[in-house]
Amino acid sequence: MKTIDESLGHLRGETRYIDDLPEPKDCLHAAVRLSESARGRIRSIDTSSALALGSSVIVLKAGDVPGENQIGFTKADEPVLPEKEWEYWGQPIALVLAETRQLARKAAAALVIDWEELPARTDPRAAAAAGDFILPSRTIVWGDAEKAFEDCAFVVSGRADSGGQEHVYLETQGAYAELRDNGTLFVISSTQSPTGIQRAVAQSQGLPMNKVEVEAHRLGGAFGGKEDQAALWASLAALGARVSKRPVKLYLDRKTDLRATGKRHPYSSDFKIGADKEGHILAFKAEYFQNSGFSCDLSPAILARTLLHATGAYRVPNGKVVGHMCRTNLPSFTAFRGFGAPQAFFVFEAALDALAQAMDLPREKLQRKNLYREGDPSYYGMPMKSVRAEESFDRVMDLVGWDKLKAEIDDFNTSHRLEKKGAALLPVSFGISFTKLPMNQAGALIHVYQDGSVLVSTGAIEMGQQVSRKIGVIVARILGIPLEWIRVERTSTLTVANTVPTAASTGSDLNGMAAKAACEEILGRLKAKAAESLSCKAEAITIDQGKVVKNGRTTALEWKELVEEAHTARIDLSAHGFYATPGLFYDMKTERGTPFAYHVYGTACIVVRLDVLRARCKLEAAYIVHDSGNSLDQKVDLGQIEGAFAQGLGWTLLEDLRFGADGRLLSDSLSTYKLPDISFMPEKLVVDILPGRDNPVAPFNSKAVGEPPLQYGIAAYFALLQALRAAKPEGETRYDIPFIPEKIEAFLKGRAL
Amino acid sequence: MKVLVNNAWVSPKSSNGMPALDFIRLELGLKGTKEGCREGDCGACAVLLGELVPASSGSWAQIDERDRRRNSDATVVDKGRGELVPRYRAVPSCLLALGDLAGKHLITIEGLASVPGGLSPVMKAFLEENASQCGFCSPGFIISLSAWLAESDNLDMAGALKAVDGNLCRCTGYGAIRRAAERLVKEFADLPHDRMTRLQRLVERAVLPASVLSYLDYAGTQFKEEKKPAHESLTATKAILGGGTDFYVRNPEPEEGFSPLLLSTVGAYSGITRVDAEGRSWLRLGAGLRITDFFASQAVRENVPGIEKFETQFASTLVRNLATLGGNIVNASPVADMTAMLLGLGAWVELRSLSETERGFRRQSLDSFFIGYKQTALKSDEFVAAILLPASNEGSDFSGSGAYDGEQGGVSLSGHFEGGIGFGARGGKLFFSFEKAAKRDKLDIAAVNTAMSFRMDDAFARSVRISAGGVAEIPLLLSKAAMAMEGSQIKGAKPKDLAKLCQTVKNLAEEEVRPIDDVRGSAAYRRSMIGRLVQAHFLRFFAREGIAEELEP
Ligand SMILES: Cc1cc2nc3c(=O)[nH]c(=O)nc-3n(C[C@H](O)[C@H](O)[C@H](O)COP(=O)(O)OP(=O)(O)OC[C@H]3O[C@@H](n4cnc5c(N)ncnc54)[C@H](O)[C@@H]3O)c2cc1C
Ligand code: FES
Ligand code: FES
Repeated sequence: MKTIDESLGHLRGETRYIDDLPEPKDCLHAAVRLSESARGRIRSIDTSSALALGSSVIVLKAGDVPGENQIGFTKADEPVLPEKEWEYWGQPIALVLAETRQLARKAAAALVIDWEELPARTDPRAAAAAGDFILPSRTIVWGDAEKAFEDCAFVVSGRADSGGQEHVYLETQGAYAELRDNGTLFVISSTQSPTGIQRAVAQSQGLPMNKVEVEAHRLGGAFGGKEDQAALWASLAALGARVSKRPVKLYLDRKTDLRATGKRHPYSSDFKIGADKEGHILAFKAEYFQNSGFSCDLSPAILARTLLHATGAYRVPNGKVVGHMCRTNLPSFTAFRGFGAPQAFFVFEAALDALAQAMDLPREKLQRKNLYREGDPSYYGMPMKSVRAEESFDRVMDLVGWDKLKAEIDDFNTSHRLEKKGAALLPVSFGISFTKLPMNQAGALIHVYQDGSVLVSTGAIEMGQQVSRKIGVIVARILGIPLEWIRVERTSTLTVANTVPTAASTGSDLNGMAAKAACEEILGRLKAKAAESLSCKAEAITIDQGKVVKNGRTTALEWKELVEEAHTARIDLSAHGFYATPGLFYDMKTERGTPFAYHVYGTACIVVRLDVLRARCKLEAAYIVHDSGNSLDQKVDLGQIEGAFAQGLGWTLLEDLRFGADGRLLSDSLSTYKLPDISFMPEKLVVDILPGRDNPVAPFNSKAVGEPPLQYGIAAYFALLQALRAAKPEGETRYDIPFIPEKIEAFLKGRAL
Repeated sequence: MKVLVNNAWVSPKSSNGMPALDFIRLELGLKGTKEGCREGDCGACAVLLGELVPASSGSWAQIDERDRRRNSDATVVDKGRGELVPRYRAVPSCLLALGDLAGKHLITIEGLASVPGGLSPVMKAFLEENASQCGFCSPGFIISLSAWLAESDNLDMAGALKAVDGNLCRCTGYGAIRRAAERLVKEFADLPHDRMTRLQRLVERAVLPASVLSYLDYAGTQFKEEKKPAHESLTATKAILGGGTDFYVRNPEPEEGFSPLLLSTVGAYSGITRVDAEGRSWLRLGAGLRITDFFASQAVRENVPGIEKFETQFASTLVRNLATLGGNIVNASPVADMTAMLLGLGAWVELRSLSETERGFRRQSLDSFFIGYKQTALKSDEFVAAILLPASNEGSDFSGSGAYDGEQGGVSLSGHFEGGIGFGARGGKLFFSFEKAAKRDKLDIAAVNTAMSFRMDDAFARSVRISAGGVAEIPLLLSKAAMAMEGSQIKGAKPKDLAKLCQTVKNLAEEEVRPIDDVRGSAAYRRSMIGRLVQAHFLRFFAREGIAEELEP
């Protein structure tokens, strides 16, 4: 068995997540008390009845935070615990510690909060009207849209809304903190961003970063939800440990997690699109009202990705896109796989759909005509290279036999009154790199031990995306040794410093490249040693399958011996590698630059079956043609494609994140918030991988795979719309995600929601 | 109390009302069983529960025969148990009372990993297909699929998918899990039907640990010795728990020492988990009957042809294995699915007093049992002992006569009850349909639900019943809509006439309901859906008559 294979432990139930770690005897458990309105002023917190529940009970409030009561970095707007005012329903306002989790929760519930209600806002457009923005809005302008609209034969405008999405990582948020010698804080966090945690804890504890040590072992899922959003829980656990001088574990129950943590940003957007007689799109305008929630968090970076994916996979010569970060009294919306891009794709596809309707053209004709082509300039000034939009689009049409499929669907629809089918295509072009430039860097530390085994540490967090397996593959290939000799270690701020979050699909690209650099360093030293032993030039040496090869011929010298020899000869068998993605730049003033290392392409086709009587639909089939470069591990990539796709389908058809007008989360349990289960998924799913091409900016010409396939889910929305139109041609379209049964029924009935 | 946990017997320190999940993770320190939601919705906490149980009650005639034997010797409560069969089912440990483990075999993922080689074929299939990403859901899936191999009559893909309908995975998108299941379908196509031999085979093939066999030996001798299960006396002060699937959702972390009365352990009323027959008049379903067993009951299926089709509309395999029929009713949720079905079938309930266990009971129609939002006719010292289904007596010489002349509902009777009252015709073919609207097809609470039944007596619809859930503060019977159909000609009717009838019934149904807005749907949506689902009933009943061409959705 490959030692690199984590999943063996998962399957045997041996893998330990935060809540499974052994607890020291004196460990205290933490619970939080959440606010119970969208905005309120705290008059006082009476702790007496909570403290009366047991001698171990400790209650901590904002005043107990020793350092700066602040974990917001882009903008200082996120306290560890609010001093006077809370800003969303579900915000932690006090921390309670006790000997058992149950007691801590009970004591938290026993706190008596004296507070008064303050006016609150939940609607992003209302916030915009009041000018309440997180940061100034951003605009990208290219060509001359107004003039181009005048030249258009067809111009349509409309509105598109997309709801938020709860991550539902199966492991909820949690952290463990312990005060160690010399006042050092040791924290284990379920996070994608150990350095972010280190910084937040250091700041709120008033400690230098070198006194805070953070480890992330492995995560039971994250999907963006444990990037910035993990910092609060780690900071609270650290606070508890510092004050109580005992280890503290804070692990959220599902309901608390749902109420207190951020989710995918809901967007409400206006669009205008125009085309000439033949259907060439000439201009596009959009204004995005991003519901950012109460604090900044990652909203600006997410908005940037929206603005940089405004035209989806299509070339549009003139346009203007404006994005607003609207402050509302809701949890701070945050990163979620796709990171602002799915919202942008949806708006553009909605605009394209409206245009197709107006022109009475099949959607796919309009789509095909306007796809990005090789060398097209993107509207933000980056020439599009290695474009595979048309290739993947055509290939998926071939794969499904599009014309035949359409004819079959037409037949079906004429012969069935109570069932209708619809199909739609969705092309993707997704930029890879953090939109925040300084984040495109990574480090790795590699040790080769005397017995030849190898330990790799990077900033890449293992959260199910199997990045450790990919990095293992990279190291094995470069060193020329079997995968089994390599262990990829968890991430710790002790081994790799100043890491960026494992996010934006870049985990294996950045960390893999850093690991590669470190490997090459060590390999160089070992080759020199081998050359000395075998009396040849270092260039003549390679290592393959753990054996030293000289001029193409395998020698008797084995990896292990070579390592032993090198050690004896006092050669350093450790190396640190560093990588910064080359060629990236972006000018925020002109809104032009090369923000991405490369793009990932692909196209999906989805067929849905509508049950007209019962007003619900079933995903019948899905076909995906995807460009995953030269895959480092096909099964891992397939798992990423299928997993992201499922989340995309959930977002468009099922996952109904709902807040009341008063800001209370209504879908506050897994019984009211439904995500895809096995039978929700299409009865048939075909994934076809495009043959790889050169991609020098990723390890071994691979390509990032985490986020792009999520967008494919949007095809389901339009497929369902097609089926509905077959059932009720005069039905009024409202572009509104998720397309839950209630909206299906409303469409059929012609009822406003 | 003792429980065999994986390979060793354990006497729990915690009280019998503690959720098994906490017992497993906190008291036993077995951390492979995960907490993902604590409300039965994710399956991360699934465990296998093994026991030896009386063979399912069988057909009506067999039950009748058995009951006659038993009744001739009223003092022997548990005689006539007949054959015992093993059962290894997957249940969500977050909703399972520790007390429900008494004398049973609990297998956690650690138990499955204790097979020779340390890697069961189910795990191996997952490994080979890369079906575990973050891994948090994996133990639950492995448990569910292992239970499927042990329990299911459908060792095909449909069976495998049903087995994991209560397990969520957020990472894989289920593709790899499906492929792993496909492997298992191939690999285990040859499993024998007989449960005992099958379990032996599964132990040999390292799907289950060897302790399964020693447990079955042990449990067998326990039964042979005819030991009466230690049963608790019923005291009015205690909270009653059926399966706990509703209770623990509302009380995820009960107070330390919480010790409810578990229906499954009430020996004196062993009928409480059984299907009994009262002559040819009633099918008496013990209130503690698990939903899985309800749908598996041959007598139920005989009585309501086709009812098993609707099983998977209720919750998930995991929850069905735990939830009881009585709990669904007492819950008094306006959207309870079993309640909707039973209402639509004209069921009655039998209420017994806790304080006078052996005496006094009363029966009333189920529709009169609900008196307000989450309020029932249960008095504080009463519990629901049974649900009574009127027997379907097609072609029999059944003559339902009125030994009973009270009004329907709310009437106390004492100790003696004759069936066959006020139900109109019981002869003729029974038509039954159930429909549910929810966001997700599987494991979702209904926005609205409805059941409909009628009997075709000669050519006419008789005893028409239409229930509707999620459209009022209580589960409703739509009497106006049903009346409109009562006596209508069905056989030989033209599709157009059937469609017209459907339209009338639909319109009345929409008028009769009084829904409100909430997170599961707006009032307008619910009202409209009731109409649509009534149409769906008609479509199901009269598809062959060509009604599809005439329905106006
Ligand atoms: C994940 C999940 C999914 C679900 N899906 C569905 C669904 O699809 N459809 C649906 O209808 N329901 C669903 N439910 C609700 C619930 O499972 C059912 O209502 C179930 O039938 C309750 O039975 P129980 O035995 O588990 O109830 P319990 O939790 O044991 O009891 C419920 C209440 O009734 C009382 N009680 C139980 N039995 C008796 C009795 N015999 N006499 C007096 N009082 C009694 C208890 O004291 C308690 O207050 C779901 C629940 C969960 C957790
Ligand atoms: S923890 Fe989710 S079903 Fe039990
Ligand atoms: S593998 Fe992460 S939830 Fe299934």
